[in-house]
Amino acid sequence: MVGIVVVSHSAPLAEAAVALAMQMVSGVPPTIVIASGTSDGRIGTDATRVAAAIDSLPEGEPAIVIMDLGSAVLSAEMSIEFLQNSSREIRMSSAPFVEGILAAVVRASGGGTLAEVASDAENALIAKTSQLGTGYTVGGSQDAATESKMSTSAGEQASSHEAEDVRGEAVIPNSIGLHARPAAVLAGALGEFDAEVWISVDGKDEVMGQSPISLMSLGARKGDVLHVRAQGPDRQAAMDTVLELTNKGFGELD
Amino acid sequence: MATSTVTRDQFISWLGRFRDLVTEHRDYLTELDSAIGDADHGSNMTRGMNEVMNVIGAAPVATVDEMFKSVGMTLVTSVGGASGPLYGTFFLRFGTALGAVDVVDGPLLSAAFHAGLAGIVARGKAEDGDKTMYDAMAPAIAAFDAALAAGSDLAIAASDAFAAAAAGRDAIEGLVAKKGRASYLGERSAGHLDPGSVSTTYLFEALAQELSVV
Repeated sequence: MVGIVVVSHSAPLAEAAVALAMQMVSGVPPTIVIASGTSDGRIGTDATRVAAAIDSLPEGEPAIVIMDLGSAVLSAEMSIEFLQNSSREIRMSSAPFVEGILAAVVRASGGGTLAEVASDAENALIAKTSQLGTGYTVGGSQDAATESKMSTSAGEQASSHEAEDVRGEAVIPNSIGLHARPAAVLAGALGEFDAEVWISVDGKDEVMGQSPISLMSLGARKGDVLHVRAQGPDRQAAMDTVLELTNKGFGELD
Repeated sequence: MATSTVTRDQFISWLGRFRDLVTEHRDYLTELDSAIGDADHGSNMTRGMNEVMNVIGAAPVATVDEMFKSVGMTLVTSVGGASGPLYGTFFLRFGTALGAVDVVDGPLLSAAFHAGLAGIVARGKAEDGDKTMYDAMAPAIAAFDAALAAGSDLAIAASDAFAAAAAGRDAIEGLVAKKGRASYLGERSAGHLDPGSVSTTYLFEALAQELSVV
């Protein structure tokens, strides 16, 4: 499982952000290590403490490093020079601090690879922008391009598989639709199955069901129909789970 | 008598003078950093350099590479803000470039300055005109090199470097900051001196003071 390293000037800030993220985890959580403050307890960061945090992750576990701002980034980048174990795969992430930690924790808990965890973390603002209806750009690309990037690879993988798939539909009944918590519930539940699950709504390309961030990018509201397609050995169980969770409003029905 | 080398003890004295300057001007650095930063540059530099002098005094080392490595690491672990990784990287690279020696001549000192500056650029990604410590340090090193090329001794080269650092510091006062906390202030950062460029000028002032003492 991918390990999460949180680098912050402030211990309370880091602890609160992690606590928020942990509310979304129902299965096995990832290892989360916080490197915050100076050794004498002041606000600030210390590259040697970041290195120690990275080194403390289980042997062989890839690490995503999420920082708050400014010198936290400098300290995180400099920490590479002080690592005891330099063979670990490490991603210095440009993710926003709060949303990124949450997305990374959820995706890692669902068994995501380092690339998948990083993608969810770095696109985590999609939840906020789709809610507000404002555009979202990541690295200069436009909203549609980002969303299509997240679904295109899904489409390519789908067409290259000639295996059977099962399909289903369910109407979203809960008032706020497929927002952050339901997306995490749904994606988390799918993490257990040996199946690929693609989910779409009318007018949007299908996205990977195991990615809460991708699910949120659908902007699915109450009354929208979720189109579900599943492949792989556990496809039927995965399909049944999606339909059941959706029909029950992801646990949020009033 | 021309100054053509710098000894380990002179380097230690340089660092002590730098500590004295940032301490003397601590409130001033804080005031600058309050205008366009998070108001901790004075306390950060004072704390960091006091810790550096404590560490050097407690465990003297024979060669300047080990000494500056210790200086760099002490700043990384005691400063907490961006000056830790930035000055820390500067001194780590500076010391590595000098090597396991206890006396240094002009060309080697120049090479070490260049290595330190490259470290700052690699760490902070600053460019000419971003309004950072780079804008004081790069001109200082260029002036140092120009003086050596003209056949001047190290005392004059260091004095020229200090003057160039001060000029660089002043030249960027009107600019909008592109890096660091000040960059969040946008246009409001114009018309304020950059605190990092001020402390860097003290670094070169300290060297000029040290080498002018025969």
